[in-house]
Amino acid sequence: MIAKGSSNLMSQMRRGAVEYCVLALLRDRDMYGFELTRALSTAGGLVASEGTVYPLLARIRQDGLVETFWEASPQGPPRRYYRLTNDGRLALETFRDQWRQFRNTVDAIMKGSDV
Amino acid sequence: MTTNEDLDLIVNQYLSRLEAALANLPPERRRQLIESITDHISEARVTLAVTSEVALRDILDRVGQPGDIAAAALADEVTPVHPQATGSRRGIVTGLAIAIVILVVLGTYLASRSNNSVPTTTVTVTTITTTSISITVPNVIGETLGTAESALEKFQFTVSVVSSCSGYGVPGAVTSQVPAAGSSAAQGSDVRLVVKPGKGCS
Repeated sequence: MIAKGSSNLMSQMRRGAVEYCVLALLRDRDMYGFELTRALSTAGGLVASEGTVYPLLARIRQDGLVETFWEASPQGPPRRYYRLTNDGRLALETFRDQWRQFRNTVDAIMKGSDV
Repeated sequence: MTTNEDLDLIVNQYLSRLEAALANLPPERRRQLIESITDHISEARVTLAVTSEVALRDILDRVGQPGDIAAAALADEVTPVHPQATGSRRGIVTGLAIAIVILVVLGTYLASRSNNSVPTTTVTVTTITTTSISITVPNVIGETLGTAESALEKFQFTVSVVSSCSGYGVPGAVTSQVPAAGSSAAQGSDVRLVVKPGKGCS
């Protein structure tokens, strides 16, 4: 049986983590909206739908974690690309450290109580 | 066979539903979001060479229900974004509020004194204390000193630097930091960095 609060808990954890998954996807290369949101939705269980990622992109752009620029597309309309800023890189690194620590602690405790 | 006009019509119907669902959003945010999703759908249609209604419906399904997108947009609208930034701003606001209260009290006091027409010299020392705010220390190891400094100053830390050849890292880079990345430190406190000199280390 699934505990009552668990879907709400998962949606909150997802909400917190997706932002950093976006930053992580942009770490090695710039991406445009469609490919970025599709990469997240293909990952499975991370976002409710591709469209729900755009408000988040707007917010982290406003926060200065990413910046955008337009580039011509070989086949369709111009693409708005997202690029990681120095602040974004810093936020990502900080989260990665904290996440690793958090995950290890929870895993260790879960393992101990696993019967 | 579905024509491109038929497909355009389906997209426009979807976008109208989205626009209606976003009614509570500030106009500028709504415009931006609709523009992004319009671009997304155009891009998907070109990339996936969509010619059938089924394929287009699939794209729109993946974009999601307008209600879900509206919920996500509204949630982002009200959530405080950077705990650190909000915290420091709150600190400044608290400081200002305290300063104003002190000035008003002082002004009232001085005014009441001047009514007595006794010439006095008042020396007032005011100390403004704000609640100390903890900020998570970012990781600056591996950065150049300049980048590390501007990163730390952005989070309102002061920086002191020690130069040392020991420690792992390229010349000119930060090799260690105290407090460590991820730990909490008071706003305005000092972060000590060890930097490897640009040259002179064997």
